[in-house]
This record gives sequence, C-alpha cells and structure tokens, in this order.
Amino acid sequence: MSAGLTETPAGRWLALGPALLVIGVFMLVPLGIMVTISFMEPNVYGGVHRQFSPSAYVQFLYQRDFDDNLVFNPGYLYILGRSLGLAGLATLICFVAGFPVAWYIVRRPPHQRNVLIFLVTIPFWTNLLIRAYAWIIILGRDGVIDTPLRWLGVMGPEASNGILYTNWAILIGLVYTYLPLMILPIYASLERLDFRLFEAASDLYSNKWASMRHVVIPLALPGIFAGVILVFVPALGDFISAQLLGGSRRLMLGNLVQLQFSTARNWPFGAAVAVILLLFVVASMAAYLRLNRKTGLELSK
Amino acid sequence: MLDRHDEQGHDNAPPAISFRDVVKIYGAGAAAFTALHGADLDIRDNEFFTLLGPSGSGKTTLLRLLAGFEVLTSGTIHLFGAEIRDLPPERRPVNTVFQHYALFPHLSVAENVAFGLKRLRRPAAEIRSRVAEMLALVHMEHLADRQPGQLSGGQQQRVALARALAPEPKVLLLDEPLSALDLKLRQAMREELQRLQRETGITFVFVTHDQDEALSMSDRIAVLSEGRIQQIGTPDDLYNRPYNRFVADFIGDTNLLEARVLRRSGDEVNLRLSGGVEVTAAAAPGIGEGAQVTVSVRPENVVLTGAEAGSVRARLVGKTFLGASSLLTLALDDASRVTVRRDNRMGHPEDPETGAEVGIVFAPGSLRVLLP
Ligand SMILES: Nc1ncnc2c1ncn2[C@@H]1O[C@H](COP(=O)(O)OP(=O)(O)OP(=O)(O)O)[C@@H](O)[C@H]1O
Ligand SMILES: [Mg+2]
Repeated sequence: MSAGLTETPAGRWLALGPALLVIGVFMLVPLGIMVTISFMEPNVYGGVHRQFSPSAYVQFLYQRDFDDNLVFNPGYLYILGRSLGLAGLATLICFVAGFPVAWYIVRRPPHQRNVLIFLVTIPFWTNLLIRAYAWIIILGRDGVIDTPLRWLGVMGPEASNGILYTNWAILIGLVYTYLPLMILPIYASLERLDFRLFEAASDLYSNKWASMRHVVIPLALPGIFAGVILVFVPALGDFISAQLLGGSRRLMLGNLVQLQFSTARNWPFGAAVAVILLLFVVASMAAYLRLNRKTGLELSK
Repeated sequence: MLDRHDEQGHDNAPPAISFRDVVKIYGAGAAAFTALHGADLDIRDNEFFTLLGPSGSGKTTLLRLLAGFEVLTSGTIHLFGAEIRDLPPERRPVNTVFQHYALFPHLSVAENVAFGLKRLRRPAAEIRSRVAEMLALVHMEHLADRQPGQLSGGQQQRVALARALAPEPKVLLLDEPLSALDLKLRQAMREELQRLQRETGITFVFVTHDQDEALSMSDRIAVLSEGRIQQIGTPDDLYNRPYNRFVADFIGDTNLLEARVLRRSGDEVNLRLSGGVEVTAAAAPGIGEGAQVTVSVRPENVVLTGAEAGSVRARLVGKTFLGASSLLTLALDDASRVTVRRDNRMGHPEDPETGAEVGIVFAPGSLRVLLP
C-alpha cells in the first residue's frame, strides 16, 4: 500500500506533502516576508510602513548628507568586505589545518579512527557562548597568548586588550568554531579512497607531495567542496564570534542584521542586509553544485 | 634483444635483479609471520621471468619488495648492480601492473598513461607521442578519452600495462595481471604480453599461480612454496627435471614411486622400486647408496606393453578419456598406482580392457629421484 503510494507521480507528491509543508511554512514563507519587508519603509518605533520603497538597499550604498543629497558611503561595503574576507580566510585556514587532520585520522587503524573522529566533534558538545567566552579569556589581556606576545615584544603596550577585539580574534573564533565542519566531510571522502592508488602513484614516480596533489586531493574534491561550503556559509553569517571577540567596532554582516532588528529598529534595512547575505550564500552554493556536478561526473564516468 | 636465448651472452652480463638471502617478516612479536625465508634469485636482463606458486607462497611479497612497497627484514636486493634498500618506490626504474589494475578513476585513459611521464617532467610533445605510441601498442587508441570506469576488465588491464610501460622502466612487474580475465581473453593477452616483452626488451617479472601460463610464457620460472624458492629453471627444466617433490607434484601430473638406492654411478643411480623391480634414474648429488627416495615419472613417459614384455607387471584398473589422450590407471603388484598417458591417435592400438594384465616400461631417462 505504502509502496504503491509512491509509484504514481501524484502519489509521490502526496508522500512528500508533509516535508513540502514544513519547508513551505518554515522556510519559504519567512523568506518571502523577509524580502517583502526589505522593500518597505522603516517605522521609527519598530515594524514597517506598508509602502513599497527601495530605500533600504539605497541605504546600503549611500547616505543622505545635510542637504539631503545622496552621497556614496562605503561603510557597509567595508562590513561586507570584512565578512567575505574573514569567512574566506577562515575557510582557507580550516582547509589547510583540517585536511592533514582528516588524512592523519584516515591512516589510523579503524578502531582508533572512531575515537579520533569523536574527539574532533567534542567542541560541538559545549555551548557556543561558553566556548566564545573561553576564547575571550584566552585571547584577552594577560591571557596565555597575550603574555608571551608582549614578552616577545610583538605586541606593544598600546594594545590594551591583547589581540582580543581585533580581526585576528574574530578569525580565530571562526576557525575554531567551524574546523570540525571541514574535517568531517573531508574525512568521509578520504575514507572511501582506495589507498592502493597511492602506491600506484609512487610506483609512477610520484613522491608523497605529488601523490597528494595529483591523486588524493582530486579524489577528495567532493569532500573538500562540501567542507568549504559548510564552513564558508555559516562563517559569512556568523555574529557570535564578531560580537564577543571582535568588540563593538568590528561588525560582520550578521551583526549588522542583528543590530537593525534590535537597537536600530530599522527592519527594512536589516532585511535588506539579510537578503544581500543570502545572495552571497546562494551564489556560493550554486558554485558548489556546479563544481560538484563536474567532478562528480568525471568520477562516475 | 637477439641474444636473449644466448646463454653465453648472459653469463657475462650482471643480472638485472638479484635477491640475496632475502627475508621478509610481516608484523612483530606474537603476530610475526615470515613470508620469505631467505630467498636467493637472479633475474637476467631482457628476461621473461615468472614467479609461480600456490596462494600465500610469497610471490606478491617478492614483487612488493622489488617495487619498494615493503621494506625487507634482512638480505639485499640489487637492481643492475646497485643496492636498492634505501630507494623509495618513485626512485626505482621499475613499474608495476597491479593485480587490481589501480587505474586513477579521475583521469582519462590517456591521462593515466601519461601519469608517470608527467611526474618525470618529460616535455609535453614527448609525452603526447609516447602516450599515443603506448595506446597503439595495447590497441587502445580509440578509447583514449574514456574514464577507467567505462572500460571492461580486459581494457583496463591493457591501460594498466600501457601506463606501466610508458616511462620505459628497466623492469616491469606484473602481479597476476590476467587472473581477472575470461579464458579467451587470457589466452589472447598471454600472446600479447610475450609480444610486448620481445618488442620492448624490458625485463618482465610475472607473477602467477597458473602453471600453464607460466610454462607457456616464461624464459625461466622460479617455483615458490611457503616462502621458499623450490626451483629455478626453464619451463623444460621444471617439467622434465623437477628438483623436489613439491615441484614435480605442482607442475603437471606425475607418478611418485618409492624406491631404495642400490648403487650410484655419476649422475645416475640404480634403484629398487618398492615392488622389487630395478630401474635406473637421474639423481642430484647427495643421494647416496641405501637411501630411501621418491622417484617421479610423468604419465606420458610410461609406455604400455604386453604383460610379458614390460619390465613391470601391472593390472589396468581405470580409464579416463580426455580427447587427445587417455589416462589409464594401473595397479602394481605392491598395490601402488601408476598413471599412463596414451595418445588417441587414429590407428593406435585400442586400450586394453579394465582388469587386463599389462606390462609397462619407463622411457629412457624419464625417471628422476626427487629431493624431499
Ligand atoms: N601485510 C601483511 N601482513 C601480514 N602478513 C602478510 C601481509 N602480506 C602478506 N602476508 C602473508 O604473507 C604470505 C605471503 O603473501 P603473498 O601476498 O606474498 O602471497 P602470494 O604468493 O602473492 O599469494 P596469492 O597467490 O594468494 O596472491 C601470506 O601467508 C600472507 O598471509
Ligand atoms: Mg599475490
């Protein structure tokens, strides 16, 4: 009966019904509301005027001077740039640090692998805020990083907070938070790798690096792409790291959105920033799917 | 290449490969397993050399030591006179055709073949022409752009061969490359491999557990059993002059008879078979008078005669028709069994009936005393 249900096209839609309903109600409708709000006028007391206006998007690039003329204001573009830069850099560092870890784990005997993978996921077991506060202590003045840096003279007395509240602190927070999301998919794809290919490569005059570059990495690409997406997308929208480790002056897009809905009470602008953020996420997902389909096709051919 | 069968020429040249007292122990402590117990082996340049032995005898281990994938426990391996213990696989002028092919799934056929040449940083033009040449050699030029996953087993095998030959190694290692193929393809590939070996002049070290394959393709064969080399020789040597019981039994069919040595004269000994008959047999040095020995004689070297004419009396107890020949099973007086092969040529006298009294003679020089 249930098997018969999924066999006709209509039956299949019916079977998917609950899932479609959930996606529709909890994802598409809120998304629609968000886009709609982004095209409305703000109401200074919170909420919106139900009136079409692109002003939120204009505000992202321009501001009004005293004569009410629009002048270009790169402030928000800086925030966008900082978000993209930090998320990109965090992704790169996660890959450079995570790939060797995944490789190391996959070369262990099977019973050790499970333990190591479990260890990689441990940070997820602790509350995100608690982990961020731990970093405040580690990175802050007289912390374990600050003290030796001062002692070595790398950090002068003018840096009153150590490296806390700098871009570096945000970066460290992002890398720390999302590193397991890079390691796990890479590990999954390396685990399926036929290691005899590594032998074949060394037989054909490849040293370890050449084998890695020409055999292992190409075959692990699906996992690498997945890791890159899993790190880049949430890192782009992250606001906890920036808020707690970056201080009040170093906003990321996520903070900007949060700010508009809380203190600034500019819902349309917050929604517009969220839409812009979403566009970058969708673009990177599209790039991911494209790349993955290309390599997937090659691998399955 | 012309002088490959010229023994004189080979004796002067240093061997391409030489194993001296090579021991390989896998694992350690309680789990330690000795896969090779001191192997000594010389392989000549331009030779088609085969390692033959049952499963688990250490053939792959020998090959992997040569390729550099395993570290030898003790002993030495020389490649063209140079010790290679510390050379990693990528620095050895040796390429392998793996039993499981191990083609790179993300690369096309042509890219697979080009892989070794690219790592050697050969010029692009040279790589292109060499790849085309190799693909033509294995008749795969029309499939150059396919991915390995789109090829049949035989085609993958040929790509693996082309990939290993492309960098012009001095030695090609082949680990049971034909075992995954069906009978027809396997026979075609045997001839192709022999042709390739002759055309390229590369030393082939070929691993198989199939004695037909070994006998039909090889210049020389080493027979392995339980991590020990049992005998090294030409196919003719192994078949007609087996050294010990394992080789006589493993290669072809044979009759094993118990006997006692009466006298020794030069390379030959006089024996009394357990049935009481006296015969002459070839024997290795070290077999002295009075020794209890096993003698081997091939079924085709046992000739059926009339009951009175033979040197040994026997009774026919069974017949197996094989087409070109028949195998007759005879019981001797002391109840030991001897198998006789008879050609089924037209006009040949009919086989006697089961139960008939017959006589047999052993073809001159066909009896060999085996070492235990
Ligand atoms: N990595 C290893 N660790 C432990 N023992 C091993 C290892 N590799 C091989 N052996 C053992 O060494 C012995 C010889 O193995 P090898 O693979 O050389 O046999 P082979 O002659 O190639 O057999 P086959 O015809 O089945 O391929 C076997 O008993 C095998 O179990
Ligand atoms: Mg083997």
